[in-house]
Amino acid sequence: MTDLSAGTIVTALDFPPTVQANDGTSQINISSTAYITGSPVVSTTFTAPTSGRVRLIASFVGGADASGNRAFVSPQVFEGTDTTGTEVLSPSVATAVGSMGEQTSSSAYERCSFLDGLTPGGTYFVRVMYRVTGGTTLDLLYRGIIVVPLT
Amino acid sequence: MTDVLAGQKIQSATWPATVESLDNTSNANLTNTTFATGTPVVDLTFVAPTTGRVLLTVTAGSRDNTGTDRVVCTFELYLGTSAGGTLVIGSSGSTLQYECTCAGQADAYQYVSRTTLVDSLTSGATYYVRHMNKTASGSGSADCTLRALTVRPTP
Repeated sequence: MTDLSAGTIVTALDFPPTVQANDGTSQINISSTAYITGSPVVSTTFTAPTSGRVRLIASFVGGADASGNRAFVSPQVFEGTDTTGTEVLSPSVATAVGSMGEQTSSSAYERCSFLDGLTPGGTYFVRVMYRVTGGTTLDLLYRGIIVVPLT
Repeated sequence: MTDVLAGQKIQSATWPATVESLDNTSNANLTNTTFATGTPVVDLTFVAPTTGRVLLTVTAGSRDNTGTDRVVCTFELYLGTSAGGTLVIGSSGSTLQYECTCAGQADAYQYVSRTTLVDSLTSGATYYVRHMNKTASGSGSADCTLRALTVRPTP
């Protein structure tokens, strides 16, 4: 990883494109307490910038029919172009966005997280994972991820 | 739109200014169930960067006094300098990708944001975006106290 120093000329690696993936297929009455992908899988590849740092923005729209349980949506990142590469970020509450347990209607949620230590120019695969704390009352109406290269 | 290429020097068109518009005038007892602008209108113009990509963030502070209704906020994007321009992203269809909301049970103000990557913009063109809001059930007990838009050029 290299910080961008004054006077340097831009290289392609300094600012690879910001990418996103999203899907509006409803995931109804989800019940898995372990992180799963859902269907379809929301995923994309991205190129790590010179700095080796990116911002991950995970979001979802969803809610519960009854109060008590929460949904967590979290990114998972692998080296390479699919899940066969080395996992560099596991889904967890460290990066997850979560719903409110008391809500009984749909709401939109978003959470930013910071991922560094990536290899400049490396290709990475990110997918959106989700789980619930319990029950079968939670629905996800939309899932999304944005990856922004950082200095 | 053009990705930032190896060897090129930074130009003003590559990184136009990040812009924000914010207002904290109370819009109380909302009843509209279709998207409207609110008072005053929260809007701004921006110049699309070389990449044609921006991160557009919608922010709102909202609540429902009875803890049953909720405020849903989104944006409308036009090519040009006003809502008289060419509509690029509207609010009449699904806004699941763009909207921010308070929880229906939030009887105290809840402040949230939602960010969208908007791409395929024409490099150097001027765009107009405005903040829109509605309520889920039109109960008349939902309030919105803060509305904001931020547009940031991105690689």
